[in-house]
Amino acid sequence: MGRLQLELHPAKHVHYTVFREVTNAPALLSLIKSGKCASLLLNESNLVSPFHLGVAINKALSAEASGKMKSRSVMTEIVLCLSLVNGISQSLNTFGLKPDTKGIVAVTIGESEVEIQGQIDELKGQVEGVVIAEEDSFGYVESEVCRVYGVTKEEQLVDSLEGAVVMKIATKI
Amino acid sequence: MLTQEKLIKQGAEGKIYETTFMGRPCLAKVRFKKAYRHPVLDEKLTQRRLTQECRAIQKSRALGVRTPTVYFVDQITSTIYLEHLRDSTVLKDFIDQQSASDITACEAVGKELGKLHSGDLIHGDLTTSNILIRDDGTPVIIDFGLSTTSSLVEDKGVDLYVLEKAFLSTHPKCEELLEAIWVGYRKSYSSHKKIFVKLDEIRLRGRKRSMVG
Repeated sequence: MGRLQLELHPAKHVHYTVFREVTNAPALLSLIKSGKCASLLLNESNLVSPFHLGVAINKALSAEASGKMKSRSVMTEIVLCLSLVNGISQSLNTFGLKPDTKGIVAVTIGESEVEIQGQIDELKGQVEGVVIAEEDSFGYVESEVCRVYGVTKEEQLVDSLEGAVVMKIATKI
Repeated sequence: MLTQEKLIKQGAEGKIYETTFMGRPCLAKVRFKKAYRHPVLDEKLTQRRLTQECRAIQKSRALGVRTPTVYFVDQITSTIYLEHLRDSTVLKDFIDQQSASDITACEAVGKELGKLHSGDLIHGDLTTSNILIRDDGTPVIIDFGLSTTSSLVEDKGVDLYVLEKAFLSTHPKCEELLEAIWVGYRKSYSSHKKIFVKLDEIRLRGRKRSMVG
């Protein structure tokens, strides 16, 4: 778990929590559908690093601030920003939870540390899995990430996978 | 808005600020609003330039040429937030420092330019200030604000001519370094012959030059 410092949105507190060996993904899916989960739950396999996630969150928060979101909430906007396609269903399919998801990255956004801590504590009660301490990268599957983001061998020679993915997210207009 | 920023450069197109992005060194390129243009037109043109620049940077990477990573494109303020490569020197300064690896560096630069042209990407503003050399010797091409896509030999020839003029005016008596760039270019662009033929032709154009052929 860790905190993301977004210089362009200083008033927002953004945290991520990594859960592994999750056993109750189907229950979490019901929780999300009924609107009882304040955090955004993402599938870990297509997320390279906290920086990758942060670039998408920054883009979503900027869209919210300027009234230009393409979806209904900041959380769904983050999913759209992670994705290279414009459809929310397809994006959720790629980055959201599935019944067999074992690794989850949960995003919590709040206006204060107190608010965040409350939401994270609630989250820890909802997710049945192991909380992983701060990490520089997530448990991504390289071939999957390359497929989802269309990363070629040439691009990987030029820069890291993280760099290639961040480029694609940032330049998608 | 950014809370910590330092203006480091101001050009005709806009300003460049040094800042951080999620703690990483970052450069923010802010494009000016041109008051002499009709506001709707200015908005449209600036947005188009922004999109073109981003597309060119992405294409450059797809062709295997290193560029700074784009972190965020703010269409509201016409700002691009880019990776600030601290471990690098502008080619202009690199050459002025006169090290033994100048020829190798220039050849490496030429190879990158060949990759761009083989992918029909025209940089549009090739100068020694728009090429960086990293500490490990790899070149990085920056500033794709005037980039276009073209398969025309003429456009590629002009791209090289702009570099030649800029190079020789800032580094006179460095013809062997320019030649090293061409050597590298030939290595990565198989159709280089017709480009150099065109370059010879372009050199004959211009002020006070006879076009009698």
